[in-house]
Amino acid sequence: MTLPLVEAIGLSRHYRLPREHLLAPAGLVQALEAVSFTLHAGTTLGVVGESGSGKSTLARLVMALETPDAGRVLFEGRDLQALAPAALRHARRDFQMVFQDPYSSLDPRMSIARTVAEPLERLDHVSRAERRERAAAMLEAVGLNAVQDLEKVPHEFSGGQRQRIAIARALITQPKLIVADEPVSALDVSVQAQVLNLMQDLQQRFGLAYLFISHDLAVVERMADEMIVLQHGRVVERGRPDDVLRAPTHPYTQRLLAAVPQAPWSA
Amino acid sequence: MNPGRAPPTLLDVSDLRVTLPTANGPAEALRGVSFVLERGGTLGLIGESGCGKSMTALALMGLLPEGASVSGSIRLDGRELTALDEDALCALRGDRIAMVFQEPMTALNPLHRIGDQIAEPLRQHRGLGAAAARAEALRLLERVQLPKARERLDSHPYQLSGGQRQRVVIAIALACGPDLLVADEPTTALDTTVQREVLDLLDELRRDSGMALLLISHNLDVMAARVERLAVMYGGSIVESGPTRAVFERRAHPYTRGLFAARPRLGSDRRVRLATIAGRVPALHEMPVGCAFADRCPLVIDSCRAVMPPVAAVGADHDVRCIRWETPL
Repeated sequence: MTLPLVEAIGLSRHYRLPREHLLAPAGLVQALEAVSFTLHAGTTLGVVGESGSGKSTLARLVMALETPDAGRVLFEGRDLQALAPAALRHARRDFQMVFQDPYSSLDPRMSIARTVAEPLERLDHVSRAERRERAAAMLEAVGLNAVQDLEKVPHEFSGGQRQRIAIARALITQPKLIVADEPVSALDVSVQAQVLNLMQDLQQRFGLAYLFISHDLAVVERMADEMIVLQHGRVVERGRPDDVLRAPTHPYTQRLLAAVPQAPWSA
Repeated sequence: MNPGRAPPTLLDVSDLRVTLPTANGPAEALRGVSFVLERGGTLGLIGESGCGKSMTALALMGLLPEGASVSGSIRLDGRELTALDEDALCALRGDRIAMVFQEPMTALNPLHRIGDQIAEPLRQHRGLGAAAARAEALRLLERVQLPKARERLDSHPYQLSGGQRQRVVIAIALACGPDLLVADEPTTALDTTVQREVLDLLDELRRDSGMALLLISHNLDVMAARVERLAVMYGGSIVESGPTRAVFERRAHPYTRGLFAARPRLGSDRRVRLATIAGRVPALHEMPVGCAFADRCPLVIDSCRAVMPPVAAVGADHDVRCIRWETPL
């Protein structure tokens, strides 16, 4: 058995609510409760759940942007929380993130060349010329025109193109893992198909692993090798999408599946 | 037409054109949109960003951006709306026509109590006093099945979940018993299970009150179960329209076919790549004179680019704007 790329062991995280009354103690929200999973290199783990299920908290913990109250995230066997700040910064090149909204995740004043190359700025030994060259190569990889697009700014692109730029930016450090939080939810249907196909191609080409967070069961079925279903911060069901979605055993998964709008006629 | 049998027309939109000022000069955002909605009927407008579906809704509400010029006609119960001044439109909005938007948090005023926001149209359009308006607001909150309605009257929007907020927005829209409800992506920002509850609620309210529903969405599957008729928009015009089931089954326009093929669907074979539509939507200022879909269409021929394709009949009450619709892909 090969070493997993990511192993999450018993991750828990709670948040303190704003105080409602001066004298009453502030409430606690358990955002994540003993969540464990294994993600192997080059594969995709789908994470499904609704608002407040803990999906985004899970993403932040895996990205080491937050510290769990309990549990550990092992990346290639190393506990990210145990790393010294410099070592963690260095390790970050191996995991990058793509967000839902391509309109707010890119700096509107920064040229595309800079946006895409920015993650390289903190890494050693990458000259300016090389950064630009690698940014151009990444833009080509995500289907944009490197020659024409490098000096443009985000507003000159459509939503689908912006999400491609965000993906190019995530890929530039040659990561092993991309955490994608609802990466196609804000996109139109035809553009969504283009971005999903692109993500699959890039996975093949670069051997990427995805932690793919989505509320859309059909998208997760298409993308994921394994999936977990989160409800109120707990994993209520896990398995291969084929099995989970064909014969869901947990009532919550059944409810999610029943709520998917589907035409009553074959179409 | 037999006026004795056909349901009376509520909304008759005919050759609606909207021109917007842009940095590149005036551009046509709507290019001859025509449709009819019967009293109590349901129509879905489907299409992707920039196709003109929200622009159509704004034109109906008289809420077009500044500098927009409108031609063609919008008749509500026989009354021409495009000629009305702002005061007359104000009297109609929230009274005869109401609208529900995508994002319930921005549609509500964060500083005002829920009860006051529902009471506002009642006081404005119906002249109700404070106590009567509050009582009616409570009745409306109960009607949209908001839990603990009486307590919620004094809540602020931030104290409610997204689904609860959308129920409040619907209660405001329903306050004056409108003839027409325009719902622009009303459930897009909501979780799937909540989405279903809100759509069920809209169905139920519509059946009880007899109001007509114009539902705008980019989600084909949401449309399927909710509207009797479907209009597919692309590049500022309706490229296909008909009974929802007929459009789903026949998919006469090449764009309709592309849209259906691009959807990830549960149970589909994941080894087969999702179909995509090549190219992208033309920007407003680069709209061609002919078919707006021509540059992306696998069936395009020269005559597609010469003039806007005329409307062709596909079947009973089922039309398409395509000269190539009979050609299989």
